Amino acid sequence: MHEDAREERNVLPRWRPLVAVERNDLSSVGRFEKSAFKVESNQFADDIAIWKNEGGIAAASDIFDTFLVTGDRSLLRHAISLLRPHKSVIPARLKDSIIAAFRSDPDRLEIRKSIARRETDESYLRQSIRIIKKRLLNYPRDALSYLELARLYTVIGSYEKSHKNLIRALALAPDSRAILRANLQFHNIVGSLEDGLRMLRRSESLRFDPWLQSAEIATTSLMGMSSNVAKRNLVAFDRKGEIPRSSTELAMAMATLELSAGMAERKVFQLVRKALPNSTENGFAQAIWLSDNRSSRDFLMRFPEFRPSGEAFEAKVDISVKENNFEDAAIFAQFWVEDQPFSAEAIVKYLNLRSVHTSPNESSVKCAKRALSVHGDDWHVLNACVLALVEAGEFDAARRGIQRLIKEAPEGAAQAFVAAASGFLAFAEGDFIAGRLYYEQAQKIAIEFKAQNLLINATMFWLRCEAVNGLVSVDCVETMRSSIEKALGRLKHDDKDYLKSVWHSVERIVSMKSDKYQNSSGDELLTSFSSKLEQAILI
Amino acid sequence: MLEQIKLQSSLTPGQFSVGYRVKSVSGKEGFLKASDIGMLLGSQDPVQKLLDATTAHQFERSVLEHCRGNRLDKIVTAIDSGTHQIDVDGVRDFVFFIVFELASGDLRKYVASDQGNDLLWVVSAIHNLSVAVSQMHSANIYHNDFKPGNALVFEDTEKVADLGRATSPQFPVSHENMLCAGDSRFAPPEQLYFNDNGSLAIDKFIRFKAGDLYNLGSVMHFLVTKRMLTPEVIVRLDDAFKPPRYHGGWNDSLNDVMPYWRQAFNVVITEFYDDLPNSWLYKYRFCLDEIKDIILHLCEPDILSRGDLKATEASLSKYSLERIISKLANLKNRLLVKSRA
Repeated sequence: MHEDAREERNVLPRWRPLVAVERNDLSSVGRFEKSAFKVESNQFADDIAIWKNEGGIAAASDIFDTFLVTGDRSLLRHAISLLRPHKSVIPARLKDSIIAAFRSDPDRLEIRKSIARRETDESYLRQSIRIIKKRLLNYPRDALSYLELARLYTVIGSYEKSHKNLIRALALAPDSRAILRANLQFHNIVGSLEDGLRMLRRSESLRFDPWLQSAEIATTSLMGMSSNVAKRNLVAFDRKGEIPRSSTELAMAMATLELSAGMAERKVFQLVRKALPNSTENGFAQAIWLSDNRSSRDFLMRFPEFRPSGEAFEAKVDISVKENNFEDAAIFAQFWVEDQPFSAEAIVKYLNLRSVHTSPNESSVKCAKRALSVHGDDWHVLNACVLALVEAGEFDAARRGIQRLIKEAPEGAAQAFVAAASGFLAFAEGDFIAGRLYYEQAQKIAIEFKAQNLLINATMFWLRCEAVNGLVSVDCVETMRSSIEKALGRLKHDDKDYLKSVWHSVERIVSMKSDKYQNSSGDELLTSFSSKLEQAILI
Repeated sequence: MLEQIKLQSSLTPGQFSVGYRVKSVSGKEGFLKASDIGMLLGSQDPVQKLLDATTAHQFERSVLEHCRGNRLDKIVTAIDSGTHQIDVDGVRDFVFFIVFELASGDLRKYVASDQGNDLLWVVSAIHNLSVAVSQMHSANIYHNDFKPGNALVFEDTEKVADLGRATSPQFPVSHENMLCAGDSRFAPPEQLYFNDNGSLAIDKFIRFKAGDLYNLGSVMHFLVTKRMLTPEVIVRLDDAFKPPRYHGGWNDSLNDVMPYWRQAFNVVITEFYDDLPNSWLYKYRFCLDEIKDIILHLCEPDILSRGDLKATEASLSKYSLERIISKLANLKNRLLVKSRA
């Protein structure tokens, strides 16, 4: 049995290797654009005339240095023309610098994908940690290296070490946007958002930096607190009336806040529409979530003209699931997990897509095994891991997962997941009697806690287990199909659409296996339950 | 007068100076920097230009006299100065002039020559220039424009020249209120980025002194690697973090860009040994290591962490060069011994 883990969402900052972050997201907000002293090439006009006249490597080097500080590319051309006659004797370092000046900005998405893929390997992560630690021995004031070290420790689940390094980074650069945003994400991962928020609120930059303001609003919304900075007029507009990239997350955070405060949908989505053209992928995913979960129209109907950019993996997963294109959704979810390896949401989504809607593969098994050790205290992740591992035939790892799930799952309706996961494993191992007992138990818990969605969910998976093992008759399958569909039709729950998509996949598997039905030992129990299911839904 | 010399122009207001190699009656050669007021009269605002030029000339003369009075032997001092009246086509004109000691060249040219490949000369030059900066500071003069073009090479020593952009509490001058008084191509980060925060609300002369330390470290980097430090850092910065310019660059505070500057600076220092002659690396690694450490110390991007780390408050004594000079003197001797071994 599996569940959709996201009840609430907001634009909490992403945390990526700094080298893979879009430079627009790190650039200045232009607070001192008018007052900052700008070095212009005409300040060097007389010198440049003398250097040109003088010629030679030293003069070319002077002109090149002027280009570096002014950004005037015509000077770069002059420097090169002066160097041309001395090609063979240009000092190596000057040559390297000139080559570097010609280098265009690399494709950050490609860098991100490449780093993410390599970081699925723990030995690579450990090696990277060693390198950065060594670098820090030589340069102990490098805040960004501490930040990167903290990220790597978070990926491998060493949260204490990660926290220590984040504290060091913050002590060295208390107002750095990159560090403050990463710190917030870290505190979200370890479940202490209030600490992250406190640190964020101490920063001077919160007064003017929209990237930090969006993070503050998102955090306070998630925590049910009131924001210190939320004001619609903070959102900047460019000359075209659109919201620039730097303010898109702020706009989405404001839209989420306004919608939950009861502001008219039309007004809120006007703001969303202005933010979408330049939105970050996080903002885009927020727009989809907001539209699909908190408004009367879903995203594709509301904004048919907008498609997510190449980097918006989370948004693409949501859209693909909506279009029942699970194979694509699973691929995007894999990118999402690689991009945000510490995100429980991403892992749950990816593993569920692989185990329920498509089929497990090497990468999903690897992901599940790693998640077991890194997210061992998150029962949502554990449940998804067990499902994925059972489906992949990794029973030992799945058993370990269930042991942890028993320990971590809270009392109440969540116990239905524990029972269902145990049943799923028992069926896969061929212990059908135990499997049925577990599923019965799961249903009882769901009925006891009036969790209709869990009841339907457990029933679907039970049917799936029986059908996969050829233990039910075609008649029984038909009876169950009709009961489940009726129940789904009557269900009034946020998960309705989601359960429908799960049923779509379960039904496909059940139909595929219909020619393999050997006996009907499961018929009696299942059929007796179909009436219970309908009654429970009616209640 | 022997010949006209091409002047390496500086940022001194009004490019109206002409250089000549001159010889005294006693046969001593010198460098004459002549400033012709007549050249300014054709400018758009001749009154302002005239004022700037005379103020700059007077300021440089006063500072040079102050240096001579303090017996600063590593500063290129004025041998003579004055005003000369000339008649051109019946029009009376004035020329200000200062006569300096004549050097055989500046570091900019020397480093490209064979002498630049002699590590002993490099270390000796580093030592001499450190002494020069220290001497200036001891006389309460801050150079602000210390760069290879302003470090002159004499037969037996190296000296610092061109005090046109210097500042001193004794000689008020308009450029002491500028963020960057010297050559911005080689300036330290605190002179390139906007800062209105408390950390830089320190006395301007302390700031100038700390800036000189950075420039000295940068010149050391130049002597070893043939590249000044600031351009090497800037080329490693992403466009978004480069100093403010009309289309982009970093337009927030210095503090916010500091982590990125520091990271690029660390890369430059890590690459310090790249492309150095093998003979230096094999035989004199100890020397390069020490110079690298000194550069790391002098060019520390954060002005408050530059200089003596034990001094927590930014003060003039925090940026003293005494320890570095003795370290360099010791290094020079060790190198001499090693080279003879």
